[in-house]
Amino acid sequence: MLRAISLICVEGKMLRRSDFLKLFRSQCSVHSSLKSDPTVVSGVGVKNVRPGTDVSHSPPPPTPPPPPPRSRRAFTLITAVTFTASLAGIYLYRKRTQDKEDAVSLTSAEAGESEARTSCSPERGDGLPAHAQFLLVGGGTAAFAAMRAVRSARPDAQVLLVSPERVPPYMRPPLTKEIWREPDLAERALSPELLTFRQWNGRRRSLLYEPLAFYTPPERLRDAAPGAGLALGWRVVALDPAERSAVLESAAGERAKLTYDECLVASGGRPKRIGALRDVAAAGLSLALGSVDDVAALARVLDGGRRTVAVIGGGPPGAELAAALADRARVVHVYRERAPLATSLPPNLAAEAARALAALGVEAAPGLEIVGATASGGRVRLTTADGGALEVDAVVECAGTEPDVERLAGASRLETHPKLGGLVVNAELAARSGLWAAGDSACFYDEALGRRRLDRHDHAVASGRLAGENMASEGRPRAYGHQSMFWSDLGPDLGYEAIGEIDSKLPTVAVFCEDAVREAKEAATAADGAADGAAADEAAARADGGVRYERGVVFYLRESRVVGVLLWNLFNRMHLARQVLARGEFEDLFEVAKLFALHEED
Amino acid sequence: MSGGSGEPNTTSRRTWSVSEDGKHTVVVASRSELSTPSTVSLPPPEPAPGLILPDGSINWGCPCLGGMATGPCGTQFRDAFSCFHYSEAEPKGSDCYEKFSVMQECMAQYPELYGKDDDDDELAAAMEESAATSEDSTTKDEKKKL
Repeated sequence: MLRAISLICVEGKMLRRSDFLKLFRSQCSVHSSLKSDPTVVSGVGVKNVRPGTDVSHSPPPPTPPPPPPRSRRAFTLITAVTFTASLAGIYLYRKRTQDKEDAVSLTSAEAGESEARTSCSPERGDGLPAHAQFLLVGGGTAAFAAMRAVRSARPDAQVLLVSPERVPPYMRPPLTKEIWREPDLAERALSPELLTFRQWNGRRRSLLYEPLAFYTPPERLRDAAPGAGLALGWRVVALDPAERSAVLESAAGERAKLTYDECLVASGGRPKRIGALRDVAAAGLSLALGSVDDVAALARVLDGGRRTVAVIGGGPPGAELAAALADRARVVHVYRERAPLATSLPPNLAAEAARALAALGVEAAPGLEIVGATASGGRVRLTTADGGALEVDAVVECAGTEPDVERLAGASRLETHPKLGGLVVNAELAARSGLWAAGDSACFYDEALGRRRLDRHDHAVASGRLAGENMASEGRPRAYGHQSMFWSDLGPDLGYEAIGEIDSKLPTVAVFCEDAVREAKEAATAADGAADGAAADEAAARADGGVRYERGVVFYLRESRVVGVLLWNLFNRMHLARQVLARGEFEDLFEVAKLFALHEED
Repeated sequence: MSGGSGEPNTTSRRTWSVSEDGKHTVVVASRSELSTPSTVSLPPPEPAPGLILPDGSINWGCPCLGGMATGPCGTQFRDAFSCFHYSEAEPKGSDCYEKFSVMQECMAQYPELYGKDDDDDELAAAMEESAATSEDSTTKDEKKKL
C-alpha cells in the first residue's frame, strides 16, 4: 500500500511532533494530494514571501509550545497523501486552522517564573558536565542552528549551549518588528517562554525556537546522556584551544572548567551604546533592544499612556522600529543623515523611506547628533550638536551592534579582526583546529565578496548550521557560500528585501517600471493605477524627492561586479537576486532587471 | 555606468542620476520593454534537499522535521522512522510496531513537546476533514498559479 514515506509540512514546513505518531497509529490512510498553503512550499503566489525567513534558510520554525491554559485546540489537519508504487510516498500536510491566541495575564505563577529567570541554571558549577563533546559558546540563533546541525548529523551527540541570557534560544528579528503588534506586551514579555507573534505570512509563532522541555537538563549531561543542554546565566570567559578546555563563569560569580571535543564561538552581538546617553541609560530611561528583556522594559514604558519615544539611529533596525512603535507612542526618529536609511539606500529611495515613516506619524529629526542627555522628573532632555533640545519619555538606541567576543578572544589569545571585529575564521568558519565561529562573532572569508562580518539573522542561521555540520562531520569541512538576506518593513505599504552588500557608498543602478514611478503631486492625488510615467521629468527627479518610486530593483556595484541586490516593494524574487549575486558580472544590467518582472506586482 | 546604457535608440528607457556625484543611476522603462525576454539566463536554482534525498535515504537535517530528530526522543524517532521508511512489509511499517512503541514511550515523558494523548480523537476527525478541505484548496491554488 504505502511504499515509502516522506513528509512535507506546510505552513512553517514543520511536522508537529505528535503528528507522526498519530499518522502511524491511524494506519496512514491515503488521501489525495493537496496543497493547503502555497506560500512555503512553492514560494509563489502570495505577497510578501520572505525567502530568507522561511525554512529553506532558517532553522525550522518552532512549534508554538502548548500554551498553559489549554484552551487552544491545536487542530492539526494531516493529510496523508500518496503515491505510486515506487518512492513517492506520503506527504503530510498540516494546517493549523485554529490558533487561538492565549491572553496571558501576570499571575503569581508567572511572577515566579520571571523571578527564576534572574538566577543561573544550573546554579553551581558542579551542575555542569566535566566534558562536552560539542561546546557552543552563546545561546542565540547561530548556536541554536549549530546545535540542530550537530544533533542531526550525530544523534548521540552531547551538546552544551552556554548563554548569558536566562531565556532559551529565541529569534531576534521580531524584537524590532512584529512583536510590537502584540497586545499586553509588557506583561507577556515577562514570560518569553510563552511569547508568540504573528509573522509575515500570518502564522502565529513562538519567539523561542524550542520550549525549555526540548533541552536536556545539564545534570543529565553530566551522566553523558546524549542531548542538547543549556547553561543559562553562564558565560564562557576563556578557551584553551590547545587543551580543548573552557572556563565558564556564572552571573553569580561561580566558575567551572570543562573540556570539549569541538567548540563553536557564537556569542552574537551586543547593541552599540551611545556615549552621551550613558547616564540616562543608567537611570533606566534609555535602552537598546538587544534582548527580550529589553522589549519588556520598553513595553512597560509605553504602556503608561501616550508617551514620546526617541528612536535614535537611521539604519534598518532604527527605521523599522520607529515604524513599529508608531501605533503605540509618539515617535521622534533621530538620525545623523539627511534621510532614514541613507547609508543603505540611494537618495531617491531614502526619500521614499522618509515619506513612508511620515505617513505612519513618525516625526523625523534628521541631521542630528545627540551630544548630551539629562534625566529629570522621569523625562529625558536630549541636546543635539546643533544646539537644539528634545524632551522625551524614553530613548531607544539603534546604533548597530558589535560582536560580543573581544574579551573571550583576548583571554584565549585568539585573533580578532582589527576593522570588522569578530574572530578571524577561514572560509570553512574555523579559527583553530577544533574551534569554530559563526554568526555575528565570525569574521569569515567569503569566496565571492572577500572578508566580511555580518549581523543578519539569515547569516546566523546559515553559518551556524554550516559550522555545526563541519564540527560534526568526519569528512572534509565545507566552505561557507551562503549569501545572506535581510528584510524590513516600514508600515504596510513599504517593504524591502536585500542580499549582499547594501551600502550607499557603492555606486548603484536602480531599475523601475514606468507605472511604478510617478511625480509626487500625482502620486498624492491619484488613487492607484495607470499613471503615465512620462509625466515624471528629469528636472523633478533631480529636485530630490519630486518623483515617487514605488517598486523596483537596485544593483549595488563594486567596479563592474554586482555585490548587492535590493528588492524594493518587490517580493518572491530573492532566489533570483541570489543567483544574480552569485554570478556578479553582467554586460547590461537592464537585461538583468528584466528577469525580475518589475512590471508585475507579484 | 554598466547598466541601462546600451542601444538608446531602440528603447523607451530614460536614465537619470539621483545624486550629485552621479553615483546613483535610475533607469525607468516601459512596461512593454520590461516584458520582452531577457538576454540573460541564469541557471535554475538548486533545489533545497527535502526529507528524502535523491538516493532514497533520509535527510535528518531537513527543516521539515522541526525538533523531531534532534530533540529528546530523537534517536527513538529515527529508529521508528527509518524502520518505516525502509519497511518492505505489507502494509508498510507493520513490522515497526515495537520501535514505535519505544518512541511513543519516550514522547509520553515530554507532554509539552509531543502533545497530549487526547489529541488522538481530533486526529481522526482532522484527517477526514482535511481530505475534504484540501481538495478545495488544491483547486484554488492551481488556479492561482495559472
